[in-house]
Amino acid sequence: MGSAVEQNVRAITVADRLRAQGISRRGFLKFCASTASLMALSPAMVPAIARALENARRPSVIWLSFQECTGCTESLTRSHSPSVESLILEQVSLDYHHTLQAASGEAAELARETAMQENQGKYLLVVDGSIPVKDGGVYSTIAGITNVDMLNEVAAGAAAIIAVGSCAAFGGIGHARPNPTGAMPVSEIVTDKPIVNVSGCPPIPTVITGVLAHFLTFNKLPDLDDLGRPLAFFGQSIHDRCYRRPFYDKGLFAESFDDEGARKGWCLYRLGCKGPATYNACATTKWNQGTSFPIEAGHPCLGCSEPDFWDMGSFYRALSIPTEDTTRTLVYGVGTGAVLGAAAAAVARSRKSKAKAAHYKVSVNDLEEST
Amino acid sequence: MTRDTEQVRQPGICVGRDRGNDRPVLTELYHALETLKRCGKETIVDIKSLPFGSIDEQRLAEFLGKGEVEAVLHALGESRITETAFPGIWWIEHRDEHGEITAKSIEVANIPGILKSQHDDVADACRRLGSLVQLADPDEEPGSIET
Repeated sequence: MGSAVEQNVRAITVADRLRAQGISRRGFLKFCASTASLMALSPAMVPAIARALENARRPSVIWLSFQECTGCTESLTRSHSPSVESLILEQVSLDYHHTLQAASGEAAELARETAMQENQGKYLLVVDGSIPVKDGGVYSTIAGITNVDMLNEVAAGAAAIIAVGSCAAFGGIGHARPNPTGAMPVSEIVTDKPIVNVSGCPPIPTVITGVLAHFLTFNKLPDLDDLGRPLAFFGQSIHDRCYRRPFYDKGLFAESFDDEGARKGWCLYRLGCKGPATYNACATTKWNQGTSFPIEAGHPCLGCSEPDFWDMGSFYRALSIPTEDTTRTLVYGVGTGAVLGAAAAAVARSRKSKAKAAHYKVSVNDLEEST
Repeated sequence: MTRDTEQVRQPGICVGRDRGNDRPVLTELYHALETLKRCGKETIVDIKSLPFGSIDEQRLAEFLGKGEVEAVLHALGESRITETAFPGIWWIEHRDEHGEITAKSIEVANIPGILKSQHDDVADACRRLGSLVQLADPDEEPGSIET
């Protein structure tokens, strides 16, 4: 993939474009420092990023939105006012995005076809939304073309694919039982291209641009975990990076949303927090200009960046509650710290799988009982 | 550093106590400063990537305090580079044009790299100044002007 991208003939480098905008070398270094932070890379990588961006070319990007709610695009476009993210986005050529582009109808499809022809084998394909395949894929079409056909056509000439959001990465809500449209993730349809899954419902905007920045900077996709997600952002669990973790280690839990523990900001594990079994960067990258993340706002993590999180049972039941009383397990947490934390995460993952197998419906009463 | 056990309240944000997450950073900074003193090796700690609660960063900043130097960089928004009360430890905040923080770090160095005039900018300045001087007196070489 790298060689294909390197052959990209878009002559102007990122550094050239920044200089043309009147940005000094110092400003460029600041841009690199911000990009390193965006990519969750060590600040020690700034000189390497600067060297890479000196020669980085402007890649073509085709963005396909399939069976989705537009939340992923909203997450990206509504996230920050003009900032490093938008500077990154300005460095790519977004040649097709049917929600954002001015063109419509045949002109829009012509833009996609032109971008594909002019950048065959070099463009980056971004997909949000799952792909319905039941009954020939008739449940979602664009310009009369089924999503599955369009994906296969565009993916064939792509250098790499970024599956943005849990729907594109793992099927998401469309794939939730009973999955009436036969929704599938990108990776189950396209098997011969490098794919990076940026999961989340929606994904963190800085993670989306972080992956774009990595591709732009190093002409390759970042290192991935076993689910195809970038390790820099999904390498650690929410639980391990949670600022409430010390309370978990001390065995201090909120038992309801308005008890003393909740008011004191104790651990939300017993209120259904899926943090121990969820890998994402919310606890450090945070949301809304870095203001906070769900747990900081007092709500348990839903686990939205994990596969099939819609089918894991109630959001408000603790990971270990569906099958047995966890008091006995958790009481050992007092004073044993991170070792037990890791063990609890493993137990939680195992029980999450069981909960998925024994899927049960959730009612308002369930929510009230759990609080 | 005393442990603050009082709750800190911020509008719309869950209240939080001191969780002590800033303490390991202080230990890291001590070792980085010792390394700088011993062999001149610089260290950068990315503050944004740390799992801080609402009070941890504030406590860390208060503990480090302010030193003699505070510089403001105007490029792609404002950046503030502040020497802490511990010389060699610099607090650096980069903001975009809208004031949003894009990067935040602590640099352990004699002088942060971004404060130094960069070679490309110096070369560009040399060209610009040279042509201005020649414009003022085309018969004189820039190097021959007495100042």
